Amino acid sequence: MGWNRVAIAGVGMIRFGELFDQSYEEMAAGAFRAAVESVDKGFEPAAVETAFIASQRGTLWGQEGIGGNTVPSAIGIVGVPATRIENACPSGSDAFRVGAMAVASGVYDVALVLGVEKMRDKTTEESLLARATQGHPIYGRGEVAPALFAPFATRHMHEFGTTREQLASVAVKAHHNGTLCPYAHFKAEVTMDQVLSSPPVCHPLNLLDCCPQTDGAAAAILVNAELADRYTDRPVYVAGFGVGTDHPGLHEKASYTELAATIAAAKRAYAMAGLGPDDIDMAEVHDCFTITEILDIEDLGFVEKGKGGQASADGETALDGRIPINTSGGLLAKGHPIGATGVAQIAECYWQLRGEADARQVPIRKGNVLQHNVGGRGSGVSVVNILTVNLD
Amino acid sequence: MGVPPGSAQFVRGGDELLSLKGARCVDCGTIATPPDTHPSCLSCGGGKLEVVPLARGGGVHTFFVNHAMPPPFIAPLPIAILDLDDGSRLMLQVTGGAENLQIGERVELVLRRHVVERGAPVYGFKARRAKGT
Repeated sequence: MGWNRVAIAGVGMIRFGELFDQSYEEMAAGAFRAAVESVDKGFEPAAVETAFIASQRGTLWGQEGIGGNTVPSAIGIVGVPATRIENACPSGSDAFRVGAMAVASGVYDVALVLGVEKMRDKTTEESLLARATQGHPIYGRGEVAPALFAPFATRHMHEFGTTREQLASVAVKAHHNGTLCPYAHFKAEVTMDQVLSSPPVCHPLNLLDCCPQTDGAAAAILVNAELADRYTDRPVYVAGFGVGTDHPGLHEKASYTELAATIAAAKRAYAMAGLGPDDIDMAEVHDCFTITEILDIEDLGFVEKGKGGQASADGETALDGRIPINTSGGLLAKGHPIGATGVAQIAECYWQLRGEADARQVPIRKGNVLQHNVGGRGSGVSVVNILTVNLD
Repeated sequence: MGVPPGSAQFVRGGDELLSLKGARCVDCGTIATPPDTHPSCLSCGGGKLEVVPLARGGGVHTFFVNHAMPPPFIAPLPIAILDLDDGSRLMLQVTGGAENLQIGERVELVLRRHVVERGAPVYGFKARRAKGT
């Protein structure tokens, strides 16, 4: 195989939300301590040999840009080699991939992956909305976050007859799952009527088609699989991962009914794992907007292209559906603290594989689950990680 | 708008914006826009590109309408991804309102004032609806 197998020894996160009472450092420490305490046979923080810190924005609070510098001290492991990883919305999942590669390479036996993002310290106008005035002086103007996905919704509806109701069914499902997740930013049901009548944000997307801006942190401890029994008798393994890239310009897509970066990342992850979409029991995918989840489940191969809206409306992606998607509540309900998001999705996948997801537990039949993010300008980067309980 | 006129970005991109230029790949013919951010071909990755004028008309490939925008934008703001008549793609603000905007609708590209920034007008192209104002 050419690489050491990698196991997850523990995961942890803090409840996501508008955390004005917690600093960037306190959020990071909270997630790290939760991960340490989760390890079945105990874990000494000093055992961490290297750390990868995911913080995407680098500007919302001010010091995220040097997370590799600040986080080791904040979480009590100062002196450990640490590096900040930034790769747009997949920053957390890419930090996980890089951590897995560090262990797989044999250079390190124990790696910490920690995602942390402070998004609510600044006002809405000063945070992500400000990107409407950034980038190219003319062509970048007006390109706010929902604008990166709304034109895909317009085109998907045009080509496949996808309806507003089908899009809204993604939000209804996400918020239901969020009520069952102790870490979710939002914990309230929403109805189809509420989604359809919520204020327009970026046509054809309404407010409840959009994820919130959220503060949060999540962590995972990766170890060489040969050492896993020191930490747990029920390890979860890394089966494969993949990254895909595409042109960053929103006007440069070959198609507006698919995300090329996701398709490329999934192809590589499935090949590395020796698995296909039919082998996956559940998935945590990037649902920053309702249309994004429709595109994801098609691009990841769970549903035929063009049928994602109908599959969602039919309940195929619900907790009791054929392929449960975003059991945690997803970005829509759990929240989207960007650097933390991918690591939190890994945590949900880990809990599902171990049967520890309580009221939102879904059947694990084949023992493989998938985690996915996509983002950046023009959805130009995607990361897919596949986890398994099966060590071949 | 964060990038005042006369700034480095306008020095690099101002001319191609005001005269509406693209970067055409000498090897495969693909046109990328704008030239100053595309030193490599979008299709074949080649580095031999010639600056060419873009078509001034096209159709709406897909679009969105921004309803939540920071100043100085005025919402609702329709923005369209366009298939220009020369095969190139461009994303531009749409003039003539958002009402009944459709995929496939014809537009023509016209020079318009986008904003007045620090007392100076900033010009660039917009897509004017054939049926609009």
